[in-house]
Amino acid sequence: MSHGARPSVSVLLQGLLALGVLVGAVVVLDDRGIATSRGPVFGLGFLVIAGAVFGRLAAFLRLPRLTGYLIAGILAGPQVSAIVTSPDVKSLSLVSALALALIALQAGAELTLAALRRTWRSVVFSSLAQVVIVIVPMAALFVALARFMPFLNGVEGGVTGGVVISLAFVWGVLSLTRSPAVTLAILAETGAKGPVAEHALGVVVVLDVLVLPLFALAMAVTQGQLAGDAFEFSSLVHLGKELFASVCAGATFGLLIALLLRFVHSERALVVVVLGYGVTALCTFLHYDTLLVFVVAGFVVMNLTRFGHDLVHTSERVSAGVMIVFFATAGAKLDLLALRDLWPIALAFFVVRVVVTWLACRLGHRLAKDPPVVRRLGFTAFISQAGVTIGLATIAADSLPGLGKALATLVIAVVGINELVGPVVFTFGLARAGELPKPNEDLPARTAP
Amino acid sequence: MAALLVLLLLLSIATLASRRGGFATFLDRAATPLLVGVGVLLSPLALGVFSKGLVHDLRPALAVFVTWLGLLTGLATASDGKRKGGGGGIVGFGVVTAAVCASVALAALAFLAPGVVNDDVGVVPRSLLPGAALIVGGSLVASPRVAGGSPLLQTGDAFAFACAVLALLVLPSGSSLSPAWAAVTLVMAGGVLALLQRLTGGGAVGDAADRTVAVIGLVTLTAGLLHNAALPSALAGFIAGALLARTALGAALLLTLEPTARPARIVVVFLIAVGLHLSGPLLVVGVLLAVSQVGIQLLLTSWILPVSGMSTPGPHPSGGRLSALASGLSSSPSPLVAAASFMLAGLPVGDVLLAVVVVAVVVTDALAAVLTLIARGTEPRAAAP
Repeated sequence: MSHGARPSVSVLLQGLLALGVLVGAVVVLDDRGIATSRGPVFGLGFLVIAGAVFGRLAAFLRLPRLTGYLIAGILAGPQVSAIVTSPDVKSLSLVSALALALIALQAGAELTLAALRRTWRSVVFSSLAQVVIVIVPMAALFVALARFMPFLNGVEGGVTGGVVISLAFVWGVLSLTRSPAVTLAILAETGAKGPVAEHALGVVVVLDVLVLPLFALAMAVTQGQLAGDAFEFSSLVHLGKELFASVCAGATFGLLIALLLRFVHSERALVVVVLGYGVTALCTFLHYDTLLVFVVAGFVVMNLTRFGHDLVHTSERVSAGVMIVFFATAGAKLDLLALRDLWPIALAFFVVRVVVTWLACRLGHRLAKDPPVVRRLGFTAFISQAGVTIGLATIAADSLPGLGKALATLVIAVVGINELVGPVVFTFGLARAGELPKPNEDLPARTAP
Repeated sequence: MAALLVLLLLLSIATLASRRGGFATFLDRAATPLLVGVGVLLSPLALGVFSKGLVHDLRPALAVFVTWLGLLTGLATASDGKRKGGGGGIVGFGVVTAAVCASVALAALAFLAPGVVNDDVGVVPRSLLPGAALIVGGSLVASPRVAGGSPLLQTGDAFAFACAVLALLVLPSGSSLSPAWAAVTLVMAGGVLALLQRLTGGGAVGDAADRTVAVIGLVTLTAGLLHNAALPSALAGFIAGALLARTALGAALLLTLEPTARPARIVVVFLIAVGLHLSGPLLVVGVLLAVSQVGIQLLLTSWILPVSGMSTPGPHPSGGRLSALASGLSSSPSPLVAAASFMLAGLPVGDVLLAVVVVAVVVTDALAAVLTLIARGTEPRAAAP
């Protein structure tokens, strides 16, 4: 499980043998009626082991380890082997939420003012180009395919054109989401350094921040349409207050972390994990945007205090386990049945999203006068979708009665494809850009997860 | 959410509390009474800060930590070629003192709470015997620093631990398996755990991150699986640790995991304390057990060890009697781990046994803390351990 290195055949076979023994033991115990109900603690442990072994397999095949984690989750999950059951996966969502928060913290800490100064033109133009070029075509495609979506036809009394358009807006915004977790994990895993890597992280984090108010706006409009109400400006004000409060909370949290790093010198990782979990719970209670809070906190620690590198080092210590748990759980959550039913529509959305993302990147990089390598390969970082998208889809499912759940299923179907293809494409892009370290070259400081 | 939050907070505090300062030895010993006191105060029976539901939700986490400590106890039995003679004598001494402690406990219970001893199934007398053995097992070993210098004492402690947890198998528990099948399942689980750790941890040449991720995953899934089957997962952890200790991976694994021992113990003690069912008679029995242990320990330090020619265990090389006695009193996690296994396995009187063992450990640890302080003032100053 050493990240960044390709495992030997014997190490790989040992891992696969271990997993085989483990699965065999579970089958025997099931047959004998021992521990037929295994529980979430077992599920967590199994996902860690299976994720680690499949991550090793993926690295051996020169694929990102994340792909291995995801496949391990899918295979162990309720819809394939059911070694980890649906209730177990649901119970693990708390661990998953914590992992996402830590990933966001690390993403924020990776965004340095120095790097932003170097890449601000690229980040601004790319982000704006993506906002304009991705949302509109994806929303238009949603409207065009609406009649093939069974969940829109199943609503009693049908849905109005206004509802379809507002849902299309939600869809367009969801298509804009990227995955800071995947981007960060791939960069950490490969140790890539160069203009594509630097640009990717900056744009992904900025887009992640931009997408949150856009999503809230789209949801407010859709909820109004469903209720037959006109859109009210006051909901925008409320949204702005929440986001502002999230930024303030993030800044405060960042300073608190810096304070802890100042006084705590041992076992900092554990302290950050505990604090992170407490803040996650608090954000849920106060309806703050958890991701925004953690990204801002990471940014504050890195750029406004002298403990940024300590934070990066600390989060790297826990990131190996965190990444495995997060992505293996995400794999186990994938709704393969929904993917089976909706795959033609999901595939269409996937293909069009890749095309419009590529177009947006070409335009953005041209306007920003980026180096040719970024213009050519920069888009590879933006295929992946993961936790943020699924999280927003879950919010949609809870907030849009009658439609949200089906919409979330479609989102998860598309995310399933993006989640599997995105990391591979990004790693390929980094390799083509020549930003991966040579096999005999030492990895830079960032070596986790 | 509350359970996970509490657990993480607890882990954090435990880790910070594990830092060693000027009063390291004193704190080492005083931690258990303090934690038990705070835990009981916060428990559903006292202030109720921890609700019954929360205590129940934390049970699987307790199983994980107990398995973790079982693994570490097993790893500590590493055979490094330094073993000296006299092992048989120590084990024999342990058996005798176990019998003494068991007799004391039974007599006390029969006098104080006859209804408990003479219950229909006769479970209590049988369960107190291994319980007493646990206390003695703990008395044979001192803090990890001391035990590190004496593989013999580590082995004695591990032996008592394994016997005590094995004794659990003959007692009625929540498991649907017969004792024989339960024993076979646990031994196999331990063996498989060791094998899997060897395979997934990248072997002896793998890096620490590989080993840590693998061991976290394996211990978690083993604890989850066996806890749901009402089997003592700590024993599987112990067997795995003992097997791994005899491979090339053992030393590296112990080195990686050793810093986690004390935080894990603190968490276990606290989680046990918040779910503790104390009563007057059990307090008295626990104190009597502790007194028996102290008496036996006095015998050990004043007569048996000098006569057998073995060095006196103790953090102070000066070898003063008070230091020796203080360091000989239990600070090993094995009694608590084994007693918690009884409770987690759904033994009908698991709570009773656990309460007795906790009281005994609290008393001996408190006494050891006081003796350590006195010894610091009266004995020649020694180099820090």
